[in-house]
Amino acid sequence: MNSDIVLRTQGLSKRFGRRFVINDLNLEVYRGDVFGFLGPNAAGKSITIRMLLGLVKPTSGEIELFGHSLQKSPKKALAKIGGIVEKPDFYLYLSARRNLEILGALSGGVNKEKNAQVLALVGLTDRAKDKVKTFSHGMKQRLGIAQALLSDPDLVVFDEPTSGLDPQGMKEVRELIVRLSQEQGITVFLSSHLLHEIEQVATRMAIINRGELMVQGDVKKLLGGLEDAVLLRVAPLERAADLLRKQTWISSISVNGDSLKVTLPHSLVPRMNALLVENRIEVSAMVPRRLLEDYFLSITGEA
Amino acid sequence: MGLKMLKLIHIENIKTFGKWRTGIGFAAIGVLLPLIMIAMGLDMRHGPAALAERTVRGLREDFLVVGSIFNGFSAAYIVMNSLWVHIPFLIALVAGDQVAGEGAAGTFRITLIRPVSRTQVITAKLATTFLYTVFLILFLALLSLGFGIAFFGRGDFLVPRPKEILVLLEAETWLRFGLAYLLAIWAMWTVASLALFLSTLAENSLGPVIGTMAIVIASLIISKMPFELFKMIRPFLFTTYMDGWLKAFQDPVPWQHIATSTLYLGIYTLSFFLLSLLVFNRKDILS
Amino acid sequence: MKQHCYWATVCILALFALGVNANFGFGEDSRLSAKDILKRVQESFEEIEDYTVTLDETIKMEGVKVPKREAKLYYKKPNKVHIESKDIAFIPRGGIVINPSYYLKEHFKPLGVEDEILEGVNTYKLTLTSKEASLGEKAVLWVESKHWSPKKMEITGWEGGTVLVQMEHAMVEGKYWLPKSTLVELNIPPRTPKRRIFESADDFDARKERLSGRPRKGTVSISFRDYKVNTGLSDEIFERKNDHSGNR
Repeated sequence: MNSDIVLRTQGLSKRFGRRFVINDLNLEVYRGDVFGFLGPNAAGKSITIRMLLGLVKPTSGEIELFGHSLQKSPKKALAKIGGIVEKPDFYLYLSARRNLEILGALSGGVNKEKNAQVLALVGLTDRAKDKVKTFSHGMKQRLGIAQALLSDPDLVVFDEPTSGLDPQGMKEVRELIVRLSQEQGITVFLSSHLLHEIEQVATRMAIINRGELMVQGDVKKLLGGLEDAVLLRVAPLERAADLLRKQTWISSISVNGDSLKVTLPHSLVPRMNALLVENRIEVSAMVPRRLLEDYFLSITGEA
Repeated sequence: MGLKMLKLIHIENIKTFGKWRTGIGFAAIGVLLPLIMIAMGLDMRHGPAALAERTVRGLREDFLVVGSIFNGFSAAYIVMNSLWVHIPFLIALVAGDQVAGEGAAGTFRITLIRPVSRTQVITAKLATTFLYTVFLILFLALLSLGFGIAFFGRGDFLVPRPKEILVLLEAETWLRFGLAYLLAIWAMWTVASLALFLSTLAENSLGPVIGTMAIVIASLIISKMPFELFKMIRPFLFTTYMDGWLKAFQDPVPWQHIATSTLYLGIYTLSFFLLSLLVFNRKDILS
Repeated sequence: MKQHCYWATVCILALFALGVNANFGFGEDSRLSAKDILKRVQESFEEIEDYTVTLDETIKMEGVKVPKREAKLYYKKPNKVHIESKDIAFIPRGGIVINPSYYLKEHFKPLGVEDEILEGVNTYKLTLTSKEASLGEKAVLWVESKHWSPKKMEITGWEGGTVLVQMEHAMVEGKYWLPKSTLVELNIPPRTPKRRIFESADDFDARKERLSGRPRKGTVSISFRDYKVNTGLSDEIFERKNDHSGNR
């Protein structure tokens, strides 16, 4: 096995009764990836993550983590993994610190300094002694991230990590994910239905639908050939429209009230911006249509 | 491996004894027992004092009965009847919550993703439940004997038996009570093991508690009814062997019967635990 | 010659009369009635105003397992009895005949008397009938003729069975003849209810099974020690709990 592959599934399937909720799923996650795992509701994302973390037994297929089979050597496979599955639930009647002590002990032993470190990382140092039942949803989410990082994992699995957070919280989590990946070299497996989040942080991704893998690969490669639609608020509007119509690298242009809707390759958006500025056209707003959203909808057939 | 197991048990102890529901049993005993003792003392015409009187009534025709036929040991003996239903309920309350409670609370999603085997987890839960059982029975023993002797004194013990007059010397009575409570703990471990097994099957703790009590009560009813069909079933019910604590007060002590009962209860306990292992290891954590 | 024969006849007759009237012990006593004997038993007990004694009791009985027991018995003339024990004790009612004469006079009627040698001791064997049905139908009492103390008593018809009491006495404080040991043998069948009028056989069987008692069969042996006689016991003692007042 390629030592750069930290997570691999082969023929992974899960059946409940007669229904296959996951069918022949083959995933590969490389070291250093921020791997986006996408799918519409009931696609099987959560079940897949539960299987990857040993919470659900596959009906068939193999899961390998860091070269160890999860089915045959679960302790070795899970030794360097942290995760959050849906919303993190803790022992509400115990303090945050006590919860982390318990979880650290289950991970083979984590010292007090590490506990303090992860609490500081998520900004919960002041609340360490408080019972978790007094925490807000956002605080529990942050504590969830803290427990995922407790054992210095090489792979972290996040299932909807920004669920329930306010915009500031979401931003912080996104930045944390990037930091984990870029600064600490941690591989991140990230499932979210917020496509713009994935688009901002993911390096590789897979899309599943109805339990089956639709596409898997490098984000840039998958999205690179796509065109982007951009909404422009410019002045003077007509002059800008005339100018852009003359450009052969712009696919289409239409006037949309007081803005222009322009379709062009994603990589040429900066060029368009430069052209408008050079011709003294004021650009007050440039709002791109989400590229990944279009791609996702086209893949899942729900466009 | 042993050290890790001890650590896991320690963790389960923190989780279990940190919950308020674990304190229910101790609170119930702590409040009710003194009340029961006071009630016994206020109304000697009924309850255990009357039971002691009934025991010797047949002899009064021919004998003068001198000395106290009812004392703290008599009161503690009567309290031991709570081992049939009340104490099993308090044990099921905690044991039934061990797996189902965590499932409902969602905490398995952060614990079972750790590099720890489910076998170790369920074994630690069983050990903690057993420890709770020991504490509960010892608490019952301490309070029933303590309050009993404080209210009614001590001395020789007239064992309330329908067809026999048996008086045990005080020194021997202490030993018999010790044996009785040990056998009670062993019997209650079977109840705990059953409740833990039912807990692995359920998604919330109410089901295992009710299920355990339904099985215990139904089995006790079958044990008492004199129908031929029930007599055939009786040897297969674990409640049939739960009377070891009563046997501790017979003379001579029926060691053979106690050994057999202990063995059968041990088999039931182990069987329930093995079933728990099987179910828990295969269980999909979907909550 | 005629005068010589006359005086010889008078001497023989006088000797004969003397011989008949002489008190030669057992021979004259055999003329005592049962009442007389009971009176002598009473007289032998008259000197005792009160006493305390320690009892050591062993019960060997079917369905009764009781350790060896020690109890303290207080007696005050004519019929006050109080027994105390630190622990539970079962004292046979028939086994502590405290003031035998009082007991016998109150509850039994003498029928007849005959002589008997019992274990090498001369005794009078009195046949008594009980005044109350609950005390049995008949009693036989052996009284030894030296100290006029009961040596053995057998009650038949006590709840359908028999009670046998054997007593040994000894001299206490040099002057009082008091029990040293008692052996009570009980042989009483299990109590069964009587069939009621219009009661069916099935119902009677069910009721019999429910209500039948245990047989009372076995022995109770009591030894008496550490007597303290005529110490002037106060009546207060006999009003304490764990008490049995009434001489039975």
